[in-house]
Parts: sequence; C-alpha cells; structure tokens
Amino acid sequence: MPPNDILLSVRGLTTRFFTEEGVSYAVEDISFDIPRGRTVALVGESGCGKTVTALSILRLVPDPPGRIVAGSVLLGGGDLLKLPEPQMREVRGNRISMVFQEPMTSLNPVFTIGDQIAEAVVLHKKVGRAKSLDQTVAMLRKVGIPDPEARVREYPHQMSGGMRQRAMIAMALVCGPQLVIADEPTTALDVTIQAQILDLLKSLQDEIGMSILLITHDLGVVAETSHDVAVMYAGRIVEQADVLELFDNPLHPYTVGLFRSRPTLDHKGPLAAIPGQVPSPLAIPPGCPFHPRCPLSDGAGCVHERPPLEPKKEAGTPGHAAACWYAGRVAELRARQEALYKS
Amino acid sequence: MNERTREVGEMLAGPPRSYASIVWGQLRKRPSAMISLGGVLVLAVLAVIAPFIAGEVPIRWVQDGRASWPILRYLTNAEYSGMLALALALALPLTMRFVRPRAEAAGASPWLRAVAIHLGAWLVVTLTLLAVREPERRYGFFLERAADVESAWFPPIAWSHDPGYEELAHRDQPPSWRHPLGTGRLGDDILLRILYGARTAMTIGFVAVGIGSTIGVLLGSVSGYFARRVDLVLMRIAEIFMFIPTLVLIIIILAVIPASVPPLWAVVGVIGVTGWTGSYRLMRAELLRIRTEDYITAARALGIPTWRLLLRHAVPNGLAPILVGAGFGIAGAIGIELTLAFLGLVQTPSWGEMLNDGRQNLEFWWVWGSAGAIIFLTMFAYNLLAEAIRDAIDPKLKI
Repeated sequence: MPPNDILLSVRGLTTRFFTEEGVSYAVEDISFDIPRGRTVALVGESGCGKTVTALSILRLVPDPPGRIVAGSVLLGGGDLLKLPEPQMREVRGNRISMVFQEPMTSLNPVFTIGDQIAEAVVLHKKVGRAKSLDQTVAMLRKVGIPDPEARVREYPHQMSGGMRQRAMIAMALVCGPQLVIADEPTTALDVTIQAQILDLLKSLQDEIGMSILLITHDLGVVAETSHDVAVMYAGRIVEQADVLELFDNPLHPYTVGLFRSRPTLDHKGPLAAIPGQVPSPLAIPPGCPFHPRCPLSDGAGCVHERPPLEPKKEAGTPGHAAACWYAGRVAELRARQEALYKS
Repeated sequence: MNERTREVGEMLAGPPRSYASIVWGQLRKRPSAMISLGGVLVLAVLAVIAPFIAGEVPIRWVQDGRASWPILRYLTNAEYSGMLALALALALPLTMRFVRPRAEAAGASPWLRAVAIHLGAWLVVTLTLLAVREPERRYGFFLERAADVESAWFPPIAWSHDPGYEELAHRDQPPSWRHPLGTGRLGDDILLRILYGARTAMTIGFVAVGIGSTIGVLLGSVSGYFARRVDLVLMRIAEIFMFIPTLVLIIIILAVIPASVPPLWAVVGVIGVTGWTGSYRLMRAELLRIRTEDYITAARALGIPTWRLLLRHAVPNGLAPILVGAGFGIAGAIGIELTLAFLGLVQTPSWGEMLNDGRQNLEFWWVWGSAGAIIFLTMFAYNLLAEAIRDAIDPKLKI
C-alpha cells in the first residue's frame, strides 16, 4: 500500500475464542495499515474473521470466551491493546467509532435518536445537553436526514432502515473520529438505499477526511468505495493491494475464485463456486488454510508450510502482497488466459 | 422528500411515541384494565384521605363561639405525608406542563424534572414534619360532646375506632342505615374498619413490593449483565432467600421485635427484603438477553462507561416484566398480610383481622362478608391489571 501518512497500524493481531468445543482461531496473525483519509476494505466470506478483527481493534471482543492473545494496534504512536480501560473508552466513539451492520437492532428502542447521539457528544466533548443537541441536529443534517429538528425527538421504530443507518452513521461521526469502522453497513439495506449510504460515506470522507475501515463481503461495494483492499480467509489476510491492482491482477487463488464466482450480466450456465467449504475456525487446516480447496495445491509445501504474506514480483504495484507459494503460477495462467479453476 | 410527502407522512405516523406511551395506549383499549386501575386508584385515594371520610375527629368544631379544625391536629405525620404524596402525584401533569419549555430547551426530560421536583418537595416537607411536629394523641371525646357545641362537622361515617360504652348496645347489628355494613362485637362500624383496613393493604402492597422490586431490579441487572461469577454468587444468595418461608420468618420477627416498632412496618420490611427474588429473576433473565443486543455493543463502541450502560441503556429495556411481577406481587403481599392478620398476629386494623373476627361468629355474615368481598375485589383488580400489563408489553407491539 502507498506509504501515506498511516493512521492505524495493526501488527500480528491474533484473537482466539476459548470455547467448550475447543479453541477457535478467529483471527490469526494479521497485519495491515490504514492510511489517513483513505478507505481500506476488509473482504471475505462470512466467518472469515472480519468482524472479529474490527471488534479486536476496539477491544469489544467478549472476554470470555474471546481473547486477543497477541499483536498490537498502533494509533498515534500508542498501542491500543495496552491501554487501560478508561483511556480505551476515550478512544471509542471519539477517535475510532463503529457503524454496525443491523440498523434495526443497533439503536436502543427506548431512547430517541437525539438522546442516543447527544449522549456520545456529552460524554466525549464534555459539553452541556443543549449544545450537544445542536451538534446532533447538525450532524443529522449532514448525513442527509431531512427535517432533523423533528427527527431528533423520534424513536428508532419510527424510522426506516436507511434512515436508521444514516442515524447510526451520524452517531459514529458526531465526535469527529479519525477512523470509522463500518461493519457491513449496507448488507441489511435495499440496493437503492445501499447506493445512497455508500455515496454518503464517500462524500463525508471527502469532506471530513476520516479514514474508513470497510468490512464487507460484497466486491461490488469494494470497487465503488475503497482505495485499498485486504482479502481475508480463515482468519488470515491472504492478499492485500490497492483496489485497482487487486481487481486487475489478483494473485491468490482464493481471490481469483472470489472474482470468478460473481455472476455477471452475460453469465450463462451454473454459477462457478469455489469447490469445498470454508473451514470452521475450530479446525483450520495446517499450512496454507486454503490448500484443501486450492487447484494449485502441491500436497507438500502447501500442506506443511504456511505461506507468508509478502509482496510478489508478479504484482503491478509495490504494495501488492499475497500469501501463496504459487502466486507466480496464478499470474502465468492469467497471462495465458487459462482458467485457474477447471469446472 | 418534498414538503407535502413529509406532512402526509407525519400525519400518518403521529407524534413521537415513547415505549411507555405505546404500552399505555394498549392498556387503554382494555376495559377490564381501566376499571381495575380505576378501582385501585379509588382505593388508594380513600386510604389516604380516610380520616376525612370516617372517624371520630370532626373536621370543623365550633365551641364557645370559636371555630377550630381538630382533624388537622390529630392527623399523624405519616398521614400528612401520604396526602402530600397523593396530591403531588396527581399534580404531576401540571408541573410537567410548567417545566416543559425549559426542560426541552436543555434537552432534558420534562417528566424526570417534574418527578425530581415533587420528590424533593415531598422529602423536605416530610422530614420537616417529622422533626418539628407531634400530632395530638389524647382522646378528644368529640362524639360525646357533639350535642353540646354550636357546630360540629364530622366525617360522613362518624364512628369511633374504639367504641365506647354506648355503642355496645348496638353491637353485632346487621347492615342498616346507621351502619351501612353493620357493626362488630364491640359496636364498631364495619365500614370504618374496611376503610382503615384499606390503608394497611395499600401500604403493604405498594411499599413492600416497592422495596422488593427495587432490590430485585438492581441485583438482577447486575447479575444478568455481568453473568459468570457475579451471577453465580448472587443467584445462590437469591436461592437461599427463596428457601425462606416468608410467613414463618415474619412470625418469628414479630415475636422478637420490641414493642416500640410498629408491627406493620416489620411485616412490610420482611416482605420487601425477602420478596426481591421474584423481580431479581425477571430482571436477570431480561439482562441476559439484553446484553447480547446490538445496541448494547453499539453503546460500548461509543465509549459509554459500564454503570451508565447498565442503568440507563439496559435496565429500561428490561423493566416490562417487572411491572407485571409487581402487579401480581402486590396481590401476593396483601395475601400474606391477610394470613398474618387472620392468625391474629398483627393488631393494625386490617381486613384479615375482620375475617378472623367474622370466623368466630359466622352468623354475623356482614363482618366476614364485607372483608371477604373487598379482599376479593382488590386482589381481582390487581391480578387483572397485571395481566393487562403483561399483554400490553407483548412483542406484538414492538414495531
């Protein structure tokens, strides 16, 4: 990734869940950077550890059974994982905030929208109720909610899904955070509203300049909104590049499979799925976690040695890294216009 | 969105409706609930202003050309306090209207401010009364002297709590114009006893259940939210309390308390302190559910501190079953007091005491009949109300 001014730096983050059925390796040794003012997308299927990563950054992982066992999250020179809880509360909502997936359930039903948002302001900005309400109304207007003075006194059940998600975004932004973590912000919304919300996020980023960590499984959303992308599989980052490079030149077989499985308008015949199943975090295969499903797996190195995430020479840009022993082969097959997955 | 669409939308949606107002709206649709609520309110009001309705102290007394208001001297501090509480509760909407403009400008809840003001006023007055006033206790012989003075305005049911010699002639009388519900063994008026018995029932009901619910809500929310070890310990403590047979404990305590402690407060105290387990379990279950809800995680993600999260964000969402439990709990508490009085363990005027008296002379049906009827009606009303609240908070109203 382009070495801009880096806002947040995750290094070697490892989060595990210690349950009765065994240890769940939710997030395993992941590292990535979030530059100032840019959007980084964390892509992957359900269960690959994207949400746990986000929760780990904010230290919201339920403990027990979860625990961040290793790694560091560096924000402005300090490691968030080592902060005492009161200071961590200062960070939450204030310097890093989060937008959740389900707008229906992320707002407290017994409070008005105004109450909930203003509470964050009062807590972090230490202003009085009246001023906090002014800021709330201003923020609601900024996220495109019409007639915010009236909306402020409304309850969540009186608003539509799109409106609620806008209110959530307002709540996340009202204290002026440097980073907004958006966990699948549009998954629960209609397609047309999706587009509006994504546009909103982009324009807010242009205006305010905050960084966004966008968690999604939708590659289309990624293409629309992100600058840099990290692809996750089974708790690990398997490929990392800026968005144009990733879409042009994916080097990890899993990424290739993801792109391939998307239906296009002129697609005929059955959809091409990646053969096999995503492994349960309780039983992650040794070596490369993708090897049971990978067409390039050699049965030897792929099974025994975990490929490191490192920049590949086949990449078009210097920051493009992939965790595969055979990234070169992927690039070669593409150059020869040969299919990687025979189906 | 253009102006016209918005206007239509607002007309359809109506003004912002809080959770409480939605529940109230549901409740209003049910006639049985409204009647029960009305009945309970009437009983509460009667209980509070009882001395003005029935008793031996006149409201106005003119003797030797001088007018006085004896009842004001004889009312106890507790009675004044109770009347003030009732008046303040009824005046709440008025105060709310008064504070609304300033409260909303500051973004605070007018309801909360009004309650705070009233609570403060009530506390100040009550404590002042307790500190400076001693009510008149000497027997005034007003009924006996009534014929000799210029004017005496007695309460509508003017009989003595402690009937004197003359009244003995009228003992064990069935209902008549003079005594609408008849008289008891000593010539005491049954209607008067019913009225004053209502006080005991209301006090036990509201105060005991109030104490119990408050303890239960606090402990239950802590238990449910933090779970694991805290919950383990608290649940075991609750189970110990659940084992305690309340009735037996009350009897024991009544036996050992010094005579200066009014037995009614001992009963109230014990019911409150042992009865918290019901609301504890309800609150705990609700919190175990609520702690997994997204809005709690979202609030934590905003940096809200834990105690605030618990009390302000989590607890209000879980209060619904507590209301239901309280309704049934009040009926239950009245039942316990009944049992004690029936066994003759509590000396305050009470319906249970009347049942006991009536039991010994079943042919004087008006004694146990009136008590039985009012007990039945009261408990029926509370049960109906509790059921109605339970239906009103049904998820079907969660939009």
